[in-house]
Amino acid sequence: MLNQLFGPSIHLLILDHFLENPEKLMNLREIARATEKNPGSISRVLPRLIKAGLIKQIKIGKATHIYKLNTENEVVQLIAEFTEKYKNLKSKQEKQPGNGEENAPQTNRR
Amino acid sequence: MVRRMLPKPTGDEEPEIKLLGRRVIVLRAGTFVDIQKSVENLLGEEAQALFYEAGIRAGRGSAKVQLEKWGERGEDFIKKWGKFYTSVGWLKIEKININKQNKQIRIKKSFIADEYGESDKPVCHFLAGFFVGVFKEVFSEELTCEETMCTAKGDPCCEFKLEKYR
Repeated sequence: MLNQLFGPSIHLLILDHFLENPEKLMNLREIARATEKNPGSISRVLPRLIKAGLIKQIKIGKATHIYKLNTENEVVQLIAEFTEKYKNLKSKQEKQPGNGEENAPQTNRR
Repeated sequence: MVRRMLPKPTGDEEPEIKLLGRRVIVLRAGTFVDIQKSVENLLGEEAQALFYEAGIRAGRGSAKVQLEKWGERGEDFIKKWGKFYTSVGWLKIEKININKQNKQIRIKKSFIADEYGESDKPVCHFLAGFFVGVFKEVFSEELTCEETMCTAKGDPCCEFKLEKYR
């Protein structure tokens, strides 16, 4: 959703995936598979999302981590609320006669 | 090889240089780094992933052409490939270990690191992706690559560790 509206961006692609799966714990490879990117691309942008407090990094081994949306973060809560409202608005606009595809935001998923 | 590729200009030649049958351009290494730095200024860390992804695409594309034109395969291909990229001024292979589960490439004279200036982080994202793309074509392996040492950071060489992820 965010990637469609503000992207294309790997940061937003990752954030979108976590927002769609807010309780899911994922490792780097799972995130890469879900976003159809190489894990090397994910590892290059994930630190920023962690530093911003949007994604939680949980250590599960000597050098192994899993990641989860930081649902306690107020910014994440705001983004989740925004995406939910945006989804509703978009579906309302699509249902209106003559307000179909031509008014939908450009999708440019990378 | 470069001297052979670039005959003395007469002013009448077509603006096309071909290598392995494909159009190539001569680009100042600093121009590439200027592009990278401009994208980094615009996109921050996203730029690292962008150059890495672009490297994968470029590595796959080049390797496809080389595999088509050269007879070598596997390790022999990689040896020739290393010499080729030295001759066109990209890098100098110091050590390459492709037999283990975790592959490793050490290079000197990375055209990116040499031109980038000092950095507190590795800067050769395009090359890291390029190696992933080449190995995908040559060995059909899905790899991911991290640059663990970089001369722009003050390390003695640039080191890339590649590991399987599928």
